[in-house]
Amino acid sequence: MNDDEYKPRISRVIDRFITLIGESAAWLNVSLVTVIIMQVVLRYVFSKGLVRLEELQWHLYAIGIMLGLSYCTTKDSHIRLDLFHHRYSRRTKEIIEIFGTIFLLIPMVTIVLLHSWPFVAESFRINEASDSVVGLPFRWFVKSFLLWGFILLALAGVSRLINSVAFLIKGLK
Amino acid sequence: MDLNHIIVIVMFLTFILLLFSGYPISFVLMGTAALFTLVGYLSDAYLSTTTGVGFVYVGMVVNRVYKLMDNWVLVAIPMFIFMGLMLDRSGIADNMMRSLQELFGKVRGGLGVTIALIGVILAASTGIIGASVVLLGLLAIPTMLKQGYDKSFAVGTVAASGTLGILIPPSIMLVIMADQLGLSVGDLFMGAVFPGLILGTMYIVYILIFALLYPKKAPLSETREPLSLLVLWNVLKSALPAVLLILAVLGSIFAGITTVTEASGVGALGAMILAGANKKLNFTVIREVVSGTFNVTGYIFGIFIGATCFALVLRGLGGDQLIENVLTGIPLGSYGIIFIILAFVFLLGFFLDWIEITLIILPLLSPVVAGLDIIMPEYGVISEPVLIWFLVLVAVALQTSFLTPPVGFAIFYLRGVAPKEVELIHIYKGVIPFIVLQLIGLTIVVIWPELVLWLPSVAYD
Amino acid sequence: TKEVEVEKIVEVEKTVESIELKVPVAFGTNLPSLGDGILYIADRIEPLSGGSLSMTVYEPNKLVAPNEILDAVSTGKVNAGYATAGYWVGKMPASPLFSAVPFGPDAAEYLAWFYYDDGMDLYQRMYDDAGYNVHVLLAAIIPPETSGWFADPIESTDDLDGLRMRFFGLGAEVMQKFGVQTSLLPGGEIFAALEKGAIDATEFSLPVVDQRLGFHKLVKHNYFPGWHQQATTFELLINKDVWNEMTDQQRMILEVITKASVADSFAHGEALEGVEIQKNVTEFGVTNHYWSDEMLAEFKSAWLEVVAEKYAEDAFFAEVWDDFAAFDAEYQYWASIGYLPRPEPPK
Ligand code: NA
Ligand code: NA
Repeated sequence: MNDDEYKPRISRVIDRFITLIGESAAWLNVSLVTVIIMQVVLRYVFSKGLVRLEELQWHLYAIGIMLGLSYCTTKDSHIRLDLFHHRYSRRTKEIIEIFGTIFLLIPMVTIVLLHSWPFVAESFRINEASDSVVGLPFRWFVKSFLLWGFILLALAGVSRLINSVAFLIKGLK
Repeated sequence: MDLNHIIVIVMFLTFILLLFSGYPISFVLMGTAALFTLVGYLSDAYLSTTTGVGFVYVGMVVNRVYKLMDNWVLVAIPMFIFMGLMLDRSGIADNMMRSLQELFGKVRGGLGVTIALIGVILAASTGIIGASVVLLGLLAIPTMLKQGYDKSFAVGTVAASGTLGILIPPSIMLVIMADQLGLSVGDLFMGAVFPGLILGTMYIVYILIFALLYPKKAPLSETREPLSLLVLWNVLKSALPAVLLILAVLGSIFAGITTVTEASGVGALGAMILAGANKKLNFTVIREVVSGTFNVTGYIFGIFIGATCFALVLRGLGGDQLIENVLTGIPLGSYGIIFIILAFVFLLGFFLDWIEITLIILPLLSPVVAGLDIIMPEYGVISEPVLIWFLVLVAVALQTSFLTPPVGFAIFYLRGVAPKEVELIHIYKGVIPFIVLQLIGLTIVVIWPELVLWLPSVAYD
Repeated sequence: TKEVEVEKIVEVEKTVESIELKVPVAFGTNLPSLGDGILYIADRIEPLSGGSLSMTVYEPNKLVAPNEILDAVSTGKVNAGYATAGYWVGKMPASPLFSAVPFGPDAAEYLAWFYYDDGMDLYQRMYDDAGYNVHVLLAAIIPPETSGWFADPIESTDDLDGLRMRFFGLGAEVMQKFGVQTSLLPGGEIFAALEKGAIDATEFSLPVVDQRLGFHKLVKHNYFPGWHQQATTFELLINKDVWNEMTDQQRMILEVITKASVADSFAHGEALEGVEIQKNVTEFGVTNHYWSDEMLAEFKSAWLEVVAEKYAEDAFFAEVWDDFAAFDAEYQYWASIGYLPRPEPPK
């Protein structure tokens, strides 16, 4: 229910933006393969230390999962219990989207955004490093993707909402 | 009953009701959590409960989501998905399955048995349920459907076989269980080996019998030729690379050469190399694989994040206590309590995933179980034989939670990767026989604890 | 006089208002000594306070993960938490000095420094200066940990080169100086990693705890003394707003009960070890080794290198180190003259 002629311009812009970010972030998986292989080689060929590389791996993975939330929303690939859903009319589906987004998605996303701002800011203020004494610096960088991930999710949700409302209005005409 | 416990029950029911709206499950979990944060807050303010749930408390979701990000073990999930998708898009999986089909297609149900066997091998390699179900789903379902297998039967076989991964060691679930109860992971790993193999064997026997009874639902391969050296050679040629890759990944984990995460990365690279050798490694394929990986990873973690929100609020409202009260109030003997607990785990499995059940229920149950009047003296080498046995029972019972609707992770994963013609109803129908088999397996392990306890008692001498 | 009356009434109401401390913990309470220290407090605080304080303990990860406890308490998401300061090394480089110091004090000296020198003041100041809204109470201390479990005897530091080992805290940096690849696996994952060969060796905790995790089934050489953790402390963090709103009585109850808990945890830990450590040898075929003087000297000089690095990097680390070193200099003379020598280690 995403790409159709009812879609308002603003939704198109947001969706294109999120898709662009998602399609780019998807390549992190290739970096992840590379880093793991680097670690394997270092460890088995050169017997070298690896805590930093291990941490780099979950940093890449963490950025991926957080940016994936909004991408899946825009692509409409989040899993639904579609036992009945696929039989509903388009109109009913859009109404469910509107109610769901306003009463289910937005409240928790707002809560997470309000709490993740101090969480990330705090980390930045003390220039937090790894919990391991031999780990990576700048822990706030990876923590910030909690914030970015949910900001994008909020955007994707809003775009979805606008899209559904637009359908209902135009569909009535 | 305390008011907050009523709220817990209402929260559960609300969640289930909202699921049926068809709004994404991850957001239903988040939304129910947010809604009942408000309910908890209002009930503290006006109905004199003392849940402490409110805007500040629920802020802990941030710390919990970060804990999902900061998890090196889970890094293997995108990598195994990458490997599976790459094998799929580069045509390698197809080749491999076709060869296996030629080899086993001559036996009734042979392809199904092959899938179950691969499921056992995958189970022994990853312990990451999402990865093995996704991999099997991508590799096996199209092949089975092409050969004319019944959709439900095909999907059920894949879902159940892939689910074995949490039982047959290595298994993340067993690691977490051992951690929760302060027991030896090794004892638990050893304890789960036979129950896992028994389940695998039962699946295979069932598949063979089903194929004999309903030949139309598990037809023989149409293209089958008599087994000649040429056929064997062709099979080897097309299947060998992928089989070798999977064996290398498994073998390196089993032999202790690499960790699961390392092996997953090596597997991903290996899949790319095979794709290259198959002359399919071009920009388009890689781009498809990376966005596919990104997408699947995204919705899996969507549910993880939703579940963590839900569990936090449920716990704050006293969900733990409610469960404890119910269980400790059972006026039955030792085996009666174990039966009730297992039935309870089975029922919870309809709505919660194994992580939540493991984290919520186990710590509450272990004192009850350790205090039961069951003595297993001949296994003195193991520090807590009754608890080990009990944990394996729970682990077997939790197999069902992946398959039982509405919230079954194997179902969700398959929904994501199965061909479009497979509908949810096919999946539901397909998993029922396997749930029954799992319950039979559970009964067997209840009756014969030595299936669990013998191996750990001799393993380290 | 009316104002005084009002104040009195408010005061009375305040004492009546009971506080439930919700305490996420960093280690499972099923782990003897390492994890169960908090139960001493949780079981007694309600009757002791006549109901004005109570405590609910949340096992690791039930509410928050161990390394998120500080943040959760500081932001008030929970009003208290039980952990060990070394967990916050990424946030405050000096923090490990408040949980265990390699080649540092045993419990007697450590407690002397905390309670009757500058230890507690510096400890609280660390959190204040870093902007954490918590009040810290010392809540438990445990006896020396083992120095690690190895598959083969370690004869010289060359045998350490290239080993993959699980190691906690500042000691990990010492081990790295000898070519050990350290990682920090959580307790529950160590056995599996050791079994599969993802690591070759490990240290975790006290002999009694290590035994619960079953390392003796895989590797048979257990080394002593635990130079990296002669005494390890645990902290009860309380959100500062909650602390400030408490009555004097409530605060005093917490101060006294945590001090009782410190005594109890130490006595409990010491009481457990004698039996268990024998069992390793007699029942499980473990060999207990005592590091040679040469090895200990090498570990120590590597440790002093690590200290020099940290000292230069972080001003507060330097301040705490200087403070402790000054106390230690005085104390050592007393320790050398006031006590009978310890029994000779087995050779
Ligand atoms: Na497994
Ligand atoms: Na389920």
